[in-house]
Amino acid sequence: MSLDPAAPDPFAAGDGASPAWRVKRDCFLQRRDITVGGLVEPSAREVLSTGFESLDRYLPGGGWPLGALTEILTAPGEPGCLWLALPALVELSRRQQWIAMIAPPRIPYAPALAGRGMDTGKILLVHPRARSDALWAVEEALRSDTCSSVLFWLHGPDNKTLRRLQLAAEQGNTLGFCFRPAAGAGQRSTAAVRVRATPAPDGALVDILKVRGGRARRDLALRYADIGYA
Amino acid sequence: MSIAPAHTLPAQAPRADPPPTRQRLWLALHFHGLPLCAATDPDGGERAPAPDTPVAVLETVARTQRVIAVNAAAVRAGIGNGMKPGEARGVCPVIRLTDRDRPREQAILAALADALEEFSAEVAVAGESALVMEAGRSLKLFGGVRALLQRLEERLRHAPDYHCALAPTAGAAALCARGGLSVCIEDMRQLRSRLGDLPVTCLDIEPRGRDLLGAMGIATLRDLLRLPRRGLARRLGPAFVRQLDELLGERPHFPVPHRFTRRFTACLHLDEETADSSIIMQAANRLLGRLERRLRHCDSAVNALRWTLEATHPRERLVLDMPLATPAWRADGLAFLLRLRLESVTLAAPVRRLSLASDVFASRSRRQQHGIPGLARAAGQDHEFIDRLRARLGERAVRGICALPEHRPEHAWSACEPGTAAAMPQAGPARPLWLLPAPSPLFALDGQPRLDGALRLYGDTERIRCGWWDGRGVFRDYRQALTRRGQRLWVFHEPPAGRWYLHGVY
Repeated sequence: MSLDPAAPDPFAAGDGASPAWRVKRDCFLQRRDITVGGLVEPSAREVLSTGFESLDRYLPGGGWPLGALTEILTAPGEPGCLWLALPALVELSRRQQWIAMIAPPRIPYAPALAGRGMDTGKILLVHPRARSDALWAVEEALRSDTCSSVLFWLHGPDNKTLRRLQLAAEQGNTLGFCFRPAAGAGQRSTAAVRVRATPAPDGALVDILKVRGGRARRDLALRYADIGYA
Repeated sequence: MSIAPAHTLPAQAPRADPPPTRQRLWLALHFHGLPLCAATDPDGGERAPAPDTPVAVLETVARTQRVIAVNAAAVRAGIGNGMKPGEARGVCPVIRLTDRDRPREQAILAALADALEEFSAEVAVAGESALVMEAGRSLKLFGGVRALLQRLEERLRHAPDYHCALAPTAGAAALCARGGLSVCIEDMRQLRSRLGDLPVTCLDIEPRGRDLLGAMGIATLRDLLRLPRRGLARRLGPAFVRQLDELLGERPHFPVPHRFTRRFTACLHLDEETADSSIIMQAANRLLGRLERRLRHCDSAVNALRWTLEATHPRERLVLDMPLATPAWRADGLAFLLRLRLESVTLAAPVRRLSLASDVFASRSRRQQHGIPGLARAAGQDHEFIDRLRARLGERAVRGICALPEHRPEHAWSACEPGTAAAMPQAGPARPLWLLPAPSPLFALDGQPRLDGALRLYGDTERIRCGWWDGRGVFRDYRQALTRRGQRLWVFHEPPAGRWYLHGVY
C-alpha cells in the first residue's frame, strides 16, 4: 500500500532497465538503514492497531509496529500519555505473555486498567534501582519472547542505547514503548515510530515526528471519545 | 524353615526346592576405604593432605591405639595395619596420624546410599561400612549383571575403595563383600559351597563370640556350619543362629530400608582462595551437576536454593538465598541465576568454600515437562523470566498489580505476585491511570483548586463515603479537573467545604 497512489514510483523499472540495475535496486530497497519516503518498506512485521482511526491512517501497516520501538514524547512533568498506548495494550493483554512496565514514574492504577478491559494479571512492574540495571532489564524484556510489550521510562537514552534496544525488540518481536520528555525531540533516534503528544482538553494533539516507511504529520487530534473513554 | 536333626547340620541343602523364576539378587558394597576417606576428606579442605603424604588412621582397640587404615604412600613407607603410633612414627617420621572419624564416615555412607537410588529403590545399610541393594528386579533394565557392575563402577569412581559381591540373600552378599570375595552367586543352592571358605571374622559377631570360636578352632564358615545348631544357640545365642539362617536363605530377611534424604547439601573447597567469579561459577557448576543428577533420579525439583560462600581471611560468609517462582531442576538455568546474582554482589574477601543447600524436593509440575520450547511458552506465562529479573534486581523489584473490590481508591489496588488472576472489573466512573501514593493538597482560591493556574472542574461529582468501621474512613467528593495545559486530573474535597486534594492523573 503506497501512501500516495498518484505519485509515480521512482524505483519502477522503466523500459530498457538492465537486470543488473534491477538487482542493484532491489539490494538498495532492502537495506534496513534506508527508508524511502512515500513507499512502504517490504517488511513482514506485524502491526497492532492503535485504536485511533486517525492515527492508524498515517502509520504504515495501520498501527504500532511489533518488533520495534515506538517513542512517545510528552511534555515534562507528565507521567506520559499511557492512554495513547492503552487500546493496543488491552489487545495484547489477551495474549499469554507479560506486559512489562519498567521504571514507571508512578504506580499504574489497577482498577483503572481493569476497568478498561486489560487483564492486570499480565502486568509486570519492575523497579530497578540503578540505571544500568534498568537498561539491562529493558533489554532482557525486549529480547525475550515472554513479553508481548515493554513500556519503559528511561532518563535521556542516547541513540546508541536506543539502537541496541531496537535490535532487542526485533529479536523478541516485542512492541516497545519508550516514554521520554519532549526535550529529546531534537535528538537523533533509530526508533521505528516517533510521536509527540501535547495534551488538549478532549484528548491530545499528536505529531508524528518520524515513522519508518511513512511521512511525518503534524497536529493529529486524538480524542478520548475516539476510544470510548469519558 | 526346616528343623534339621539335632546332632548334625547336613552339608547340602535339606530339601530340593525348585528355584523361583525371578529370584532376588542382592548387591553388597563394602567400603573398606571408608575410614581413610573420612579422615582425608576428599573434597579438599583444611584437613586434606597432599596425596604423597603418608596418612594412617588410628583407632582405640582394646585400650591401645592402633593403625587400622593406611594410604598408598604410607604402605610404601612401610607402615602396616596393627602398628602402634609410636612404632609408626619410628618407621616413618613424616606420617600423619588422625583419629577415626565415625560421624563423618556415617555421613559419607548415607550420601553413598542416596547415590545408589539411581540403581535400586531398596537400599539398606549393612553394618558400619557396607551397603546392600536389591538388584534382581531391575537387572533387565540395566542389561545384565555385567552392565550393572560397569555402571556402578563408573558412578562410584570417586567413592572410597570398595569390594562388591552379589548373592541371593543380603546377608550372604554382605559377607562376601566383607571377606573381599567379589563373586556373583545366583543360585541359592550354591551358597553353602561358595561361602564355605570365608573366615568367620567376616561375620557380625561380638568379640566374646569371636574369641570363643577362635578357641574352638573354628576358622572358616564351613567348619561353623558343621557344628550342631543347639550347641551354637546355647553358646553364641539364638540371634546368631537366626543370622546364619537368614544368610543361607532358610529364613526370610528384610533389611531395614534406607530412607533417601529428600534434600541436597554439598560443599566444595576451592583449590585456592579466589574472588574471581568465573572460578566460583565452575565450582558451582559441579555442585549443580550433582544436584541435577539427584533430582533426575527421584524425579523431583527444588523450590529454593541457598548458596554459602565462605572466606577464611577474614572469617566471613556470604549467604545468597534464591527462592524460585516455579520448581526447577535444570542445572543450566540455576547456574544462570547464580551468575546474575553474583554480578550484583561484591565479594568482600576471597572465597575458599562454596556450599549449596536446597529445600525439600518437590514434585515437578507436569506443565513444564513439554520438550518443545514453543509449546511451553504458549502454555503459560514464563516464570523463569521473573526469576531472572529478580536474580539481578532483587526480590521486591518485580511485582504484579491487582484490583481489589473496595470503594476507597487507595485501597482498591495492591501489589501482588505477577500472574495473579484479576478481580472482576468494576463498573463505574473511569478511574485515573496513575494514582498518587497519597493525596496531595492543592492550593485553593475562593474555594476553587489551583494547580499551575486555575483548574476547570467538569463532569459529575462522585461521592465516596465508607470505611468508618476500621478507622480509615473516607468521605470525599471526587471531580475531574482540567489544567491550563490540558492535563486531566482527579481531585477531591471533603464536603462541605474542605481542602482540595489531587489524587490521580489521567
